[in-house]
Amino acid sequence: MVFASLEFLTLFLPVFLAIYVLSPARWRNGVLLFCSWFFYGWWSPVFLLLFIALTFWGWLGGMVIDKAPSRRARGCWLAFFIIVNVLTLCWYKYANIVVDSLDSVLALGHAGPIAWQRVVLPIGLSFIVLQSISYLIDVQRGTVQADHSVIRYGAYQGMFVHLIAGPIIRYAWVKRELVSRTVGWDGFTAGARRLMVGMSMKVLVADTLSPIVDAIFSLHSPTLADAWLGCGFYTLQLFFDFAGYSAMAIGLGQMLGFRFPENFNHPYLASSIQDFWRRWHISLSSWIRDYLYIPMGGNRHGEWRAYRNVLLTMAIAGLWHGGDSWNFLLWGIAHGVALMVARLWRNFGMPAVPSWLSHVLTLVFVMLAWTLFRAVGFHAAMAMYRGQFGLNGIGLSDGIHVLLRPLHALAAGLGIVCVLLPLWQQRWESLPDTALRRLWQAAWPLAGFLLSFGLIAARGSVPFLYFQF
Amino acid sequence: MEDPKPLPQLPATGAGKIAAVALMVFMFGGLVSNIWFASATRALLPQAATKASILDGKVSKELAARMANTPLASAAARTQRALSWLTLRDLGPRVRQGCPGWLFLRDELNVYADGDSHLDTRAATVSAVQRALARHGIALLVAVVPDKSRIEQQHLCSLYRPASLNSRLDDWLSRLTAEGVPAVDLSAALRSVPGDAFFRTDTHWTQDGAGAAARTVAKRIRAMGVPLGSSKAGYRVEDEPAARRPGDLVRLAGLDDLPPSWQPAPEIVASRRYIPVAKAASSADDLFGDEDLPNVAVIGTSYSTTSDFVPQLALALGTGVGNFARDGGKFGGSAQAYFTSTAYAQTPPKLIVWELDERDLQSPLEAQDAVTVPK
Repeated sequence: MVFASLEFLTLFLPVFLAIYVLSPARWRNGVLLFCSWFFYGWWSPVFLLLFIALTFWGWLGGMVIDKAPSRRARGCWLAFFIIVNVLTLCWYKYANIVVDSLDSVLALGHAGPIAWQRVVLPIGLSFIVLQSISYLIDVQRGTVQADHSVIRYGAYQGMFVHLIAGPIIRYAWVKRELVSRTVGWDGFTAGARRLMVGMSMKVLVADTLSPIVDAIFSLHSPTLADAWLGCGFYTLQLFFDFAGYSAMAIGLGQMLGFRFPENFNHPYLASSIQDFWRRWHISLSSWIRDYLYIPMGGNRHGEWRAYRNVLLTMAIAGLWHGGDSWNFLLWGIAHGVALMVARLWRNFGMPAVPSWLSHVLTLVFVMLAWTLFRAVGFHAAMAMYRGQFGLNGIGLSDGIHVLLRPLHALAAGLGIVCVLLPLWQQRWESLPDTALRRLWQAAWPLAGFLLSFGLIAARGSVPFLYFQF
Repeated sequence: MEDPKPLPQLPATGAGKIAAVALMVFMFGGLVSNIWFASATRALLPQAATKASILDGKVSKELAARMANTPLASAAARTQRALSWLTLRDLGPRVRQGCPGWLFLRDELNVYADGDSHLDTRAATVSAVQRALARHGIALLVAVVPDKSRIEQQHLCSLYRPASLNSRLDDWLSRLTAEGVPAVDLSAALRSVPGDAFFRTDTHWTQDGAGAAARTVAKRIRAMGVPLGSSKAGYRVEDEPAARRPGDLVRLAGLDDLPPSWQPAPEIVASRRYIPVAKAASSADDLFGDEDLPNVAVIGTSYSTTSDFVPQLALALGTGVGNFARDGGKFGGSAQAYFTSTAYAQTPPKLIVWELDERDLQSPLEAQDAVTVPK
């Protein structure tokens, strides 16, 4: 089930909220857990078993590590429980691509392909595994105590609000609320408004642009106009899809009495690649920093080790995203190289780039990297790059021309305005607090939400990008 | 990088209160609407939920699809379509507007990556069907209905019709000619219609357009010299007063529920009615009553079922014509159904007219496009 769907909004959510609010406080974790399992099992009941198994594995791991007699034993148990998690993730993510790559090698020697039934990636597995790993490491470090209640730990791990697509919530952030939380009017109102804003972001902008992006990225020879239109639309689509979903998750969390951190902070206004990663998918980038980059030595062991660590960390982040092609690894490496270059530039005392140019260069690099991220396979990415550099002609292709509608222009315009809006934030905040302004603040999320519901109803099915991760 | 910090808990604002109340009204209203729909129509829950269909997620997918029919979802979808049209002149993914009031089906304008290969495959299918029919002594004539956007070019205004589609019809006809399949191009006939050959708000041809096409097809059939038998055309024609005709493109755009003055300019059409005439008793020699069965059968798409194409063809030929076309049949739908029907098996015709839409020729191949004639 996804948030932007009829069954979630008019079936699951009202029934769940009614049960949740009417339940005594001590039952709420149980209600949350079982309803979340129902939510997860809605589309793929078979994968629910894997999910439940991983939940028990994480809970058991925490207990075992916590009770281990020595630091060394805690480390060994930690490695054991993490390896099982990572192997599970690797199996579902990379088994197909490894077999495909082996088949390519075998084909060179005129050997037949390996007999293989393709593995299907369970929804949300990457997020589940990262949450589990962070919990186990935190228990081993002593940052948090192992949770003895399997219901409580299960509610943390399986909470439907961030189950499918994140944000990655660490146990330490919600441990207090898991024990005791207030389900009140203040949180509910803030959460409801946030849910509406997130829904508008996802449905009005991201989902509207989605068919054009799909069409352009499936062209054999996109022209300059096609390629940049596709890349630009995808840049907007990805942000509004993912940030919208995060906003919905944060809003739902608030409605249930949880307070999650922000996951995005206007990433397309970043002044450098480093700044971009401070603003994009913050729960992932901070996870990578705390559980990968710093344990690898970070920048504590000299410059060259720091460069190596940055590159390795970003490559692993790329691998985590990917599953169906090596493009994601290349995307991670590209970001790693960009971070290294930025660091080298600074360390070698090169002149500072003017602020406006730095913003533009960052955005252009991010967009070019998104091309690699979105294209299905290396050849498709190269075809898009040829288009972006004008090697396939200039004008818009016929196939794309006939797809474009006024609604796409509106969605793209709305997206660009929302991306640039923080530039006028100060001016907006300095305006007097009039009734008209308050009315606007109340009306636009509601109007966006109702329009989004209309679009969902008119479409029938709702795509979501981050399912693949 | 700073550690992510949980959001502060702030007191409820006015905007938040409005959002919360509206969300609750909406959610629980939706729930009530779903329950009412499920109990009144029994159409929400899947009929046959098995353990296997629950486990592989089919049941939940089916339920999700059916929810689009609930009152709240239908009303929301209609409102969204209406707002898009009234504010942006957006007609949804399937319909485009040319000159004011002139609507076109987007499928006609699609450019397919492997379009030529699909067209070749379809030409090979038609050729194989013709050879198989010939072995049974049945002739085949292919009649291609050109795109509305090709014939009504003067009404496209700023609507873009890709230049690469210009040769699609000629390519198809030359491939059929090379295979020795008789085919008739209806473009010239449709262009010669004094008024409009196609409706403004509908994808189909007008009665005059269908009549011009029918006469062209009849002329070609006569030229083929196929024995047409003695069945009677059997229609009486009456004039009907001009009336508003709802267009299928308005329905496809989801605007048919809007007040007429808000819809794309409505179409007032004066038409003729083709009333089947009761047949006279069969001759004494025709003991089992099959002497009067038509020797011409039409298979094809909704073009053959609208604007009285078949009655007009029958009158132009002076003989009965059996209509086996199907709405939404696309390239092979009605052909596949007809060749496996008892009508074909028990009373095969002498000539089959296969009416095809130009827009379907290059579209991706579907299972129903694999047409074969039983041996």
